[in-house]
Amino acid sequence: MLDSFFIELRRSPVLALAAALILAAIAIAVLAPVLAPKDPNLQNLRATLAPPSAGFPLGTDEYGRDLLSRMIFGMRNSLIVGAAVVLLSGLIGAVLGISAGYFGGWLDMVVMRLADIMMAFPYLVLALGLIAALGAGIPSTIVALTVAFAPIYVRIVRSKVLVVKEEAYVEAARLIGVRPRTIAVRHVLPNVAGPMLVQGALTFAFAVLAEASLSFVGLGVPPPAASFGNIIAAGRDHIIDAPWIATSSGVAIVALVLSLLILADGLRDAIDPYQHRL
Amino acid sequence: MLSTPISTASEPLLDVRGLKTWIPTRRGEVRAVDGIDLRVHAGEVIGLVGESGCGKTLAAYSVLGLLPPPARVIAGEIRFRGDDLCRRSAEERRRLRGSAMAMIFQEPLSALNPVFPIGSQVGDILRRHSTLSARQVKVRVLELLDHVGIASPGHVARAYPFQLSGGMRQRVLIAMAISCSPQLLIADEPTTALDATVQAQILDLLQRLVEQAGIAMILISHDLAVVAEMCRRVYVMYAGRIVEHSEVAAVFARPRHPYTSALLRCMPALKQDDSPLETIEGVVPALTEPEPGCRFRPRCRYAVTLCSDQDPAATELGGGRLAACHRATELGLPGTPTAVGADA
Amino acid sequence: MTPRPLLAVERVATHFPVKRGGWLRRRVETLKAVDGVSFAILPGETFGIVGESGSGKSTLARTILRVYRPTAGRIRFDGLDITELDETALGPVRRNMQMVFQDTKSSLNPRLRVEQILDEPLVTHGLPRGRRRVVELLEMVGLGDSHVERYPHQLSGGQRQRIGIARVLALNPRLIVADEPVSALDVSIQAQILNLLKSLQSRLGLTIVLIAHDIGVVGYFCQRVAVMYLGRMVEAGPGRHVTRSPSHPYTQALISAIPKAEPGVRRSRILLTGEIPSPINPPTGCPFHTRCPVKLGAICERERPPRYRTVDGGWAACHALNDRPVVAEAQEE
Repeated sequence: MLDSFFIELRRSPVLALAAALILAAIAIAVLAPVLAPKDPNLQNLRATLAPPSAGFPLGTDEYGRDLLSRMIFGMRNSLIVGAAVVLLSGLIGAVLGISAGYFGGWLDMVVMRLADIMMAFPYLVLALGLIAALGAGIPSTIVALTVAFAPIYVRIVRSKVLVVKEEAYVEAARLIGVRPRTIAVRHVLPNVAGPMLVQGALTFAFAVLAEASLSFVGLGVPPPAASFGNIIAAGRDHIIDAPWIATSSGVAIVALVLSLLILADGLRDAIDPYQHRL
Repeated sequence: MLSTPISTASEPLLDVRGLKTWIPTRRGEVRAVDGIDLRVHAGEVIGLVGESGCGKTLAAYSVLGLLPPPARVIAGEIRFRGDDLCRRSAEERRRLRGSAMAMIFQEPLSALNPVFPIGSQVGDILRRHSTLSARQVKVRVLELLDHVGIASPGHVARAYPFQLSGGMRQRVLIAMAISCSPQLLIADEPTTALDATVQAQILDLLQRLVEQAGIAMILISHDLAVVAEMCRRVYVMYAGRIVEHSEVAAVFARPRHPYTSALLRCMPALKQDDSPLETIEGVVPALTEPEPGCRFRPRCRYAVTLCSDQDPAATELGGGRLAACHRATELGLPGTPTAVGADA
Repeated sequence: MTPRPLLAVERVATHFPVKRGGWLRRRVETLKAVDGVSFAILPGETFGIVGESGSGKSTLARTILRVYRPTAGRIRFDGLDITELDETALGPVRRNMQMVFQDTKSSLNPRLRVEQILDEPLVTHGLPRGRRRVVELLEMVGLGDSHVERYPHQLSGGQRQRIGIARVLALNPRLIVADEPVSALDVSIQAQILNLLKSLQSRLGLTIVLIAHDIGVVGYFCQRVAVMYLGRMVEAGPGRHVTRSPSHPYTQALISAIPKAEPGVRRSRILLTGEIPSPINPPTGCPFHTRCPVKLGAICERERPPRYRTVDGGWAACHALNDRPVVAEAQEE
């Protein structure tokens, strides 16, 4: 699967660009303390709303904080939230989706009805409610978004499991006498991993957007910690006199989300083993 | 519609010369159809035989102008009623399809739109290619369905594709194909997806229809026995080339190409005893960069040095017979087991 | 004395519930996929089951192997009644009865290499493992060392089917049920696989049940052949006899439907009208009476025909053969 992803990379320059941007984003997030030229929270009231210059490559915000440094740490927070949400909801999705799909019965009934009920709420409203109950902050944002996104994962994994379950190789394994749990891990899981990876990239994109939305309204990443969402919120008040604030973080979000969506498409093309024969 | 002179016996209805249909891929051009000649006269039924991947379907799609991108015709002529189709616009070719030439597919379910009733899908073709009124279209649809042996046309016209059996769907596709009285019908494995008894019904129907209406037909099949029943002439394809062409009876009794001979002798249905079936070892070669020499050579039990040096050209063997084999005249290859017995 | 059959199937029926109708008038009907089938296979025999789609032949295959539990009847494997056994008790039996599948893409896990695929039966049953054993299995099916590391998508259809056969051979089973093993393959590859199965059969003394829609394939391969129609067996007998001079009108129609490779010969063909009826509400009496060209009359609609003797232990279930001795009475499920 990895080989065929590299084939896709060579074939599509757009996908290669997206993958490069995502790698760069990860590098920025990991190396944030080294890369950031200044302390992101250091106020400089003599240089508020300064336009981009040699001292402040992207300008400053209304408290005179270096926007580049805030963006770098904002990227870090976005990716932390995104990655945590993808890992946690992916884990929940895999366990519940495979159990429900492969073993069926009452477990399937209970899991799927619960997922349906949760999916009936708009996910942002669900997340808002949870954060209201848990209090703002990065951990509760992660919990809220995981709860919001996991049901989609469960549904996707389960539907794929239902398809894989009917494949002749699963029947062959049963006839050989392989134990059901071994079949689930050895035959079913690897064949639902592809769609899960695709969904992972999509969830990452949605989680980044959701975190930005929550931070924009003052929940999510709490000030003074930086986030694309609260940078845009701050920039909104100065969209005329300091347009660089909202613009720079807006561009960053769009680039990040778009790259993730393109990556999801590329993964989708790469996961069919019978596609790369020519 | 294009007005054209009626073709005479000497001038074929369809005359394909040097057709090359290639598919660009990352590993280079796949030479799926690599220089084939093929002629069909008006009212004639010919067979095009070969195993999967030999290029027979792509050759048919080239004639119809229905090639799935990125496949495209890179050389050759496709003369239909004397007119080179490769020089025609997409719109002109679209108008030709359905009216002068039509196609029947292997999998009738995917050839029908699942969300419209049968009657409206058959009617669509009539509306597109004729000037019938809405009422006349309705009547004609029922006539057509009746004509292809559907017992209750009114009922079937209101049904959706998924409600019909495979055989019924194939009948519907045949009704659509003949709806505008085409001169040429291309049937791509029309009975491969069907059960034996239903296959017999459909072959019987096709034979009756083309005979009655004087439609010329190219029957594409992997099954030599089907072709033997339906056709007078047959073209055998292998790896993008036509390796043998002849009257069907002659091919069965005395094939001139080792591939044809092996194909005939690996069919279990023709077997008279328990001896192992003849096989063709190895696989069809990759068509991206064919090695020099004969394309069948790696699998051929009769190959000599010449075969790997030089690509055999199709040679005229008298009586319209062609074979692309260096040793066509000297080998004396076995045909069907029954035919061998009769010959001896 | 006749030896004990390896597989004995007695009046087996496999029915499935089907939900029909909308929300308001939902009702459950019964799909009678297999409806009262009996036969026995001796060790080392090749037994063919022919039928068109909807005849129930694949359901029968899976019932024999106890993928499905039959609704009625008994299945005995080497004398042991396996009809009611649960998965745990079936474990040791499974090792001795294995299946070869039709779809070579779907029957091999695309994420496993050939080595892992062939290791699975070995590790499951605690048999000697290792690369040596894997290569040995590959060599039995005409492949070799170079295929060990491949993934299924790097193999051709014929090669994949060989792997499917090697996976079965790993357990050294006594019975192999092959469900349309060649129908998805090209003619020249079909011949390779049939030859392989035939040589393995004689070399290892396997018992093979070959299920196919192609009576030519079955007639060539099998010593005895049974013909199924709508969940029941309508005729059985020596392969040569059933395929050359069939007794049941359905078998006759089936054979006459096969295009014969005799150019120029216009044969009078028995064309059946209509198509196979639904197994949800199958016709009463003889299942074939709705399409039968030699239907006698009311008796065919009312009574299931008994098995009348043909030749060499063969029989056909048709009222039109009532001048012959009865082998077995009609079988109600």
